[in-house]
Amino acid sequence: MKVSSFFWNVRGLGNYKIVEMLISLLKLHKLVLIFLVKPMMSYTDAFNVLFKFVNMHLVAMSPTVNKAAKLWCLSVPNLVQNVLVNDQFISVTYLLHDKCFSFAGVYGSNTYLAKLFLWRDLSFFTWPWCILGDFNVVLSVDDCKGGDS
Amino acid sequence: MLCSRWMTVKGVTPNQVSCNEFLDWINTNDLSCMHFTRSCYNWCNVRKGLHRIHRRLNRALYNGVCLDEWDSCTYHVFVKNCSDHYPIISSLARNSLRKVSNFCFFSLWLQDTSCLKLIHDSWDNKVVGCPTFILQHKLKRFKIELRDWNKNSFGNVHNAVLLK
Repeated sequence: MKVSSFFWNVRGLGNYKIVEMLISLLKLHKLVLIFLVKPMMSYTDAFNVLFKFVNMHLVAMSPTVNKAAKLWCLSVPNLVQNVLVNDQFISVTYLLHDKCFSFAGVYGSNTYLAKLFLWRDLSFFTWPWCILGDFNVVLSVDDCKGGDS
Repeated sequence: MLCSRWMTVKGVTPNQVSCNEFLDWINTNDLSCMHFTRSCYNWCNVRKGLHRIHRRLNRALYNGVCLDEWDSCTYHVFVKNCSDHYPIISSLARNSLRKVSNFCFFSLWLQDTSCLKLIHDSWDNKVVGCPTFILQHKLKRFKIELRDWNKNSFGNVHNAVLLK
């Protein structure tokens, strides 16, 4: 048994290359859940160009993060047990073969203070939890390359 | 337990305070970054030459319970496409291979009278067809009935011995 979830900061779903890639990925990897950041498109438009062709339903849409930025969460139907929506993350809980597990998609704010709220709010991992996302922060200098001043 | 390396590296250094906050959060919640395949960096400002910056902003983290319950937790970073962030896929997998044991007849079953009765009843049931088909069908049916009988009424011998 394998469950996969996908996360991408797409920065606009308008590009046909992105739509093509998403459709091929969805067909290839049998994804359970996808998180899209900054689609820059209304859901109805995105449904017509992309989600109509794949069996994915909108689970949650996080409120505006930075002016126009948004986090969308789509999942295969009939599996989702519980959804938790915050302005910086969406957490989805599944129940499969009597086993409970969760995926959380994070889009961390750029500001230091807002990120403190994220660290505070996202800390209740009692069952299997996989957190994937764009945290907008690195762990150490090993995560950086380039940018000579 | 994760710890970060801080050395003076030529170029832009990230904000150490916010990095430490992130690190604290990872360590207090017992999270771990998993092995990734392909690129280490997953963000790039699409600029040429010396101005090009790579960062690892996207991550997949798993808590301890997740690593215990699932056999493999992996994440995969795809090649860059259109957006300056690379797409990532995180997978949880469990090996669900169940061993199917061969059927074998235990001679101690013959000591049970219900077993002999079962064999007689099973064999007396009529099957229509050519002789080889009849034999094959009867053996097949007999095996299934005997297996069910062993499971339901005879029970596990090892457990019975332990109970006594």
